[in-house]
Amino acid sequence: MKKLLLISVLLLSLGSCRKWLEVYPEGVQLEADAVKDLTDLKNILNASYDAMANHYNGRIQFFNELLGDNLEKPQSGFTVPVYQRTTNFFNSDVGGLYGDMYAVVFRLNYVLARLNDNTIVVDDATKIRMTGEIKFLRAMLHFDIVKLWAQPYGATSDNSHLGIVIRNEVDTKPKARATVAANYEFIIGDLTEAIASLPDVNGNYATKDAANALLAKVYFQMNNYEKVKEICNVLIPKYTMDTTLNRFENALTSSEKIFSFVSTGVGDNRAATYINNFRIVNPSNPSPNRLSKSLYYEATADTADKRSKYYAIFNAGDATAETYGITKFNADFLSNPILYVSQLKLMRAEALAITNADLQTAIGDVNDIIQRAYGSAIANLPTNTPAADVIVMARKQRRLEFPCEGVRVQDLKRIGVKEDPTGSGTVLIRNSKWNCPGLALQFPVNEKTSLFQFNPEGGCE
Amino acid sequence: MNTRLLTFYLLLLFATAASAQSIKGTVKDAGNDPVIGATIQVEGSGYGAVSDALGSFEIKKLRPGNYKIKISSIGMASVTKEITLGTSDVVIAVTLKEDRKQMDEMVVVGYGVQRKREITGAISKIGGKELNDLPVPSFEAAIQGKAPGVQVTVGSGLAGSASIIRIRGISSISAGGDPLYVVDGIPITQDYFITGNSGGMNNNPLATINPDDIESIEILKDAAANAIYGSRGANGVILITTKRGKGKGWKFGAQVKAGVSVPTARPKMLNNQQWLQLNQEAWENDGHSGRAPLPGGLTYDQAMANNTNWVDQTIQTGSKYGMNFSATKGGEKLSTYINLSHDYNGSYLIGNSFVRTAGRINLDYNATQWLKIGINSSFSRGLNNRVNAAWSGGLGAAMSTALPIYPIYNADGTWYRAGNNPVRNMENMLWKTEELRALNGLNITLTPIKNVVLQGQTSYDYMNQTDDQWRSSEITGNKNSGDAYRGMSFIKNFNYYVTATYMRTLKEKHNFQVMLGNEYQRANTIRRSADSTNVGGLFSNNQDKYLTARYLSQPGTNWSFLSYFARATYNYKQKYFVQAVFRTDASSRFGNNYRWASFPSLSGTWVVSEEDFMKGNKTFSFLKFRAGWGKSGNANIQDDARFATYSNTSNNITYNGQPTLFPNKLENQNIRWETTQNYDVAVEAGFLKDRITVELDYYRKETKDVLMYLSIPASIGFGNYWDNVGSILNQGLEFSFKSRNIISKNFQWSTNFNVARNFNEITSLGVYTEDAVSGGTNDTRVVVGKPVGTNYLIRWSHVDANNGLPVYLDKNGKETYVYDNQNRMAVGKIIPDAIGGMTNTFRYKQWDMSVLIIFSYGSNIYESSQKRQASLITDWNMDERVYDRWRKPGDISHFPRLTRDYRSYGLPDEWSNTTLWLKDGSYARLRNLTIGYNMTPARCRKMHLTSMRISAIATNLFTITNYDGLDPEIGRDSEGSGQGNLNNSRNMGSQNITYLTPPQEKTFSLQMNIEF
Repeated sequence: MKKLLLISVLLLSLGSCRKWLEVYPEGVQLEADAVKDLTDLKNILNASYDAMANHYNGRIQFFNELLGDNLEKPQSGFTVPVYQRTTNFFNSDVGGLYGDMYAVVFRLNYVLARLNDNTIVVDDATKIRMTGEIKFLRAMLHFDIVKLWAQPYGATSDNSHLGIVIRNEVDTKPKARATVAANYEFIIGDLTEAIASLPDVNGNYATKDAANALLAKVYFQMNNYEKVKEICNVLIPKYTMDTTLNRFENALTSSEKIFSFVSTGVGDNRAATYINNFRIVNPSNPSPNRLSKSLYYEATADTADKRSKYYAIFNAGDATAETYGITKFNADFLSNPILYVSQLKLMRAEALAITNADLQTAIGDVNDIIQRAYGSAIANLPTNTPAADVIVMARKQRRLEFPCEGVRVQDLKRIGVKEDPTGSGTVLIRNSKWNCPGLALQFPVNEKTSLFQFNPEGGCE
Repeated sequence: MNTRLLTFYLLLLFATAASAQSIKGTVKDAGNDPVIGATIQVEGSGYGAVSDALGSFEIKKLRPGNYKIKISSIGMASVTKEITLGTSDVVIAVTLKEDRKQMDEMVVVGYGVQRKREITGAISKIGGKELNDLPVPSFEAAIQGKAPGVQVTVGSGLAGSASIIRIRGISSISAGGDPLYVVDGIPITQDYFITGNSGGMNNNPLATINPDDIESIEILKDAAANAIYGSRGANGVILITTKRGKGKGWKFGAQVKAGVSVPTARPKMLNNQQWLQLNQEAWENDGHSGRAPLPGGLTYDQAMANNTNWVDQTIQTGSKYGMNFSATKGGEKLSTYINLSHDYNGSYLIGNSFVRTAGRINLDYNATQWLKIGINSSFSRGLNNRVNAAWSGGLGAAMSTALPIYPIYNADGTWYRAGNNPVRNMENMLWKTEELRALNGLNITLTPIKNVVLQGQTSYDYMNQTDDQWRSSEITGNKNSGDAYRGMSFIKNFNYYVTATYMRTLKEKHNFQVMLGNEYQRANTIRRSADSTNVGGLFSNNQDKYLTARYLSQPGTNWSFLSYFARATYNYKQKYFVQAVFRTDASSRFGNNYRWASFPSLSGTWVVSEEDFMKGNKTFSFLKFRAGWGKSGNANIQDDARFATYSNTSNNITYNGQPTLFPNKLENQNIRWETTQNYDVAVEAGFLKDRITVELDYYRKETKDVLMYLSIPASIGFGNYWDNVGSILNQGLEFSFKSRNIISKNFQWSTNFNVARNFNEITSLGVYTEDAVSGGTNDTRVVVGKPVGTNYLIRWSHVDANNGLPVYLDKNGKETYVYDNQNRMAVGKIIPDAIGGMTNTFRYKQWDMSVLIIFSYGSNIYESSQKRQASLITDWNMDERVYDRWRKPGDISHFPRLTRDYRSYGLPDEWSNTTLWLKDGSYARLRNLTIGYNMTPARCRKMHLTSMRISAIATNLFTITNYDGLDPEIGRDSEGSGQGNLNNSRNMGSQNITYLTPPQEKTFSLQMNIEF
């Protein structure tokens, strides 16, 4: 019996080593191993740029365009309800974009927290610069989320209508939506801090000018034209206009560039959604997504405008089968311009004209764009053009200069707030009132908590 | 008479005399009644006979010599007689004594075997032969209909596809709900998501197991049976025992087979004219005039000229063939089993096949009286030629976005690209998954002293899976030869166990057995990927490109279990049996606070028929009651579930040329074991000398701390989070019945029948709501008071006869035109009320026939893809059912007026989830019909064979169902995005939710088996 016990104990003791359970997941890094020093934090920040470069690769812009009047209805899928302005909380394309954008906000907040928790050695200069970049990117994300998921700034007189959840720290608790007023206050606050913290030169990363240019866009969206003029007047003289008509071809090297996302090759293509949606692979067949009739005919009405060459038509003359495309994205990869001088020029022109100040500069800004497009001054505005016509031309040029870049629908919303504040129907976005409920995307179902109020659905034409 | 003639005459005389003798006799039982249907075999020859109604038999044409004949009958102890046959017949009288052989069958129970009568838990046993003869995508599909309470949903028509097996209902939500598979004591690698989620049905890790090697399968269903695998037994355990050498001398077997595969149902899609007509009708219904716009950049004339039947372009008559060779030898010292097989299984989907080549050698060596060594070793290769199925291409495309108005080629001969073109996809994409698997075990049994057995086994299960894909430039759009991708998984699964068993009998009445054991398992999966642009084909054919490809490290797995266990059994006079099992497990998947858990069980059996008062009972030949209680666990979740994880520094993802690092998920160090308490009571009985046996089980399984991958607000930055939430109840009844209806000399008929009723309910969800976990195609939910896999839908009322619009019901049952997701309700379930199967086997002289009918009653099918195939005209094709639509006021129709604008139906998008697509999922199907002919022993002998059998086998010949879709048996892996965890969908919607799922296959094959 003793022998038996001895043998049993020997055998069973084989498995007594507790270390055998200290087995960690294969091929994944745990937080403790991943985040140890400043380089790791820099890499997380770089990963935030990386993720944003993928979400701003034509994807965020596409959702904006779908709501507006530049595109035809998609063939099928969850982008159709975006076009129809009938998204609901099960729309996985809409929910996917929403989650992806907030995932970057989490990264940014995490880096910000670790820069300040005294567990990692970081010098002051780096800390200030990184804080500036984080706030610039965080503001950019919140700005684009609130534009898509809420009614525009100015939709109520005090902007007390619901905006989006503000995520300004690492937090795993559900939160309520803040008002649009609070959202814009937060965005301006972040950008103001970013401007104070960012350097003038920062490689391909955020700079003081980038934060200023974004702030100008924010004020432009808020119909705050005094601020737009103020910022643009400082920024525009620092840059020169580029002669290239397709800014996607030289986004990184252009003299107009203020901030771009960087592509380095086919496998590192930060314009992928533009290309996937609009590239015309075979001249016989249209691209997966097509332009609207109204954009095509407006853009090609004057063949002297060299930008008209970027448009294609299929089954011309066949009323049921005629479709339209764009050739700007016929490439294997493209870098992606985000903030550049042409935007500032047209923003300033409109701001000056609306505030009826310095009309000559406004006309000059618009003509810079027109002259480049025509290759001569042939279509330029006369110097005595009245302010109202300058506004019309500046807006038209915005549509022709920035097709597929998600500008048009937010322009129409901004104009609606300004010119049709009651939503009487004088400003329409593809037959719908600019403030109809469905023009704000629905939040994903996983936001469903007692704190969270969803958007009303539908209600558009 | 010359010498040659004389010799010839003598030879003839001798030969005639030598082959003329018979062994005749009668077989009677102890009561002197004839035993009908007893088998009389002449050992070592193909000769034999079956006793007739008088118990008489005769074996003719035997040469003089010494013979051993074995007389056996079910329920009787076998008798062997040695007979010396001279020049005249021999007549013998045999008396067989009652011996419940059937009840004394040895059953594998986990770390040992027990006699069936001793078993205190619920175990179903299936013999290897029942598995081998059925042409199925993978061996586990052949279990279907043969074991009560075991629901097998065969993977849809793809070759090599996995079945979904659920034992006694579903008790998990986000943790794996599949049973644990143990082959010869080795818990094998059984990850269904090794190559991720792709193609409509993932690569099946069980498909490389050769069914020809399987001796038997035991299914452990309750905690008394599976508590010994406690940590992982919550969803049942399937024990697979492979064949071993037996008998004396070498025996050889060979099998060849060939067959064809066609779909059980063929989608009836519209042709171009039909589609154009309905598209026009919808256009006009929407208030338009003129011609309706067309998708795909086509003019009306082009659309009229094209009429592509995409179903024809994506399916075929598949072919199957296989060959198998085995050699076995028993011996006092060394027993050997060797098997080689090659199996080609082509499905009816063009380009889809699974080719398995397998070899096995099992050795048993009795080194000394106290030392036995066993070796199990198998090697197999599975080559899966894969195709996109379901939504992603192939037949699924033919049933959806490949419109009949689309051509395959443009007029200039280039591929048509402006709409879905599955032929273009098939011909420009190559996809092969190759799996190499070696499963090896070394088993040592020591008997150092009397009554003590020590056993140790160590095993290594290695799997190397290579997923090769290639897309031509036609698909990628890049200006090069194409892109190649290779996903590689190297899975090492090491396991050992040791057990010490002590047996003792006191005073010939008290029998004790105590076993102590320890087990450790560690598995590691390393994943790599390689990709390269400008490659002319698969990496396997472009080695130079592979060598210069970009390599990435992908997340793998790494986990371990450490366990200690004990089993004590006691019986008194072989009448009263008690078993206690205790197992404690630790898993690396849980944090230090919750790492260890204990899984006890206690069970008992009373063999009533052994009692004196039952002796001589004419009704019962056997009667047994058993009852058991126990706990079992589930830890089948991702290894990193509890951790916050970050991207790898070697991820090669850079931005602006700089490295990146990012978090992938949130942490929860407090997740713990999902545990199930299990109760089982049962009665087993044999009647009429066990000609009829029945078994009735009641079980109750209470699962708590259910592991869920929960949805959390996306604005947090992550969409999901692991936690233990809520509880699930399963309870049910299982009944099985075996009967030998007719036993006569020339004709025998037996019936096996089983049926099981399962009741499943989520009893708590903690603080969470029904949207916390979703499954199916985002249409099943977790709802308290309802079963796992509840269809959670808006109720459809009817089509308004006046305007043809859909009428829905709100939460209060009030009719409304408004489609509002707040009105979703629990309206159906994917789990059937009852499942079962019936096998009838007939034997007439040399012929036999086996008929297996399976049935499933009371579940729903959610035909998710029909929402796009009926009445709403999008860029999908429709099937002919759409013709039952509203056309003018007063029409009573199934489908509403056609429209091209989903808003006409009050919908927010094209994806309405209503009860219009919820169907009755009940069915009965002729799963298998086999007709076989066994060559007579005499003819076999002439051919120098021991036996020869030729059989014709048909599967899925017909199905009785109310389901109006393709096939009511639906098995697929999760598809699409937004479901977070893949097991959610496998538990909550892989069955009975169809989304362009290919139908099952119908096969016809011929098979020949010989032994010599």
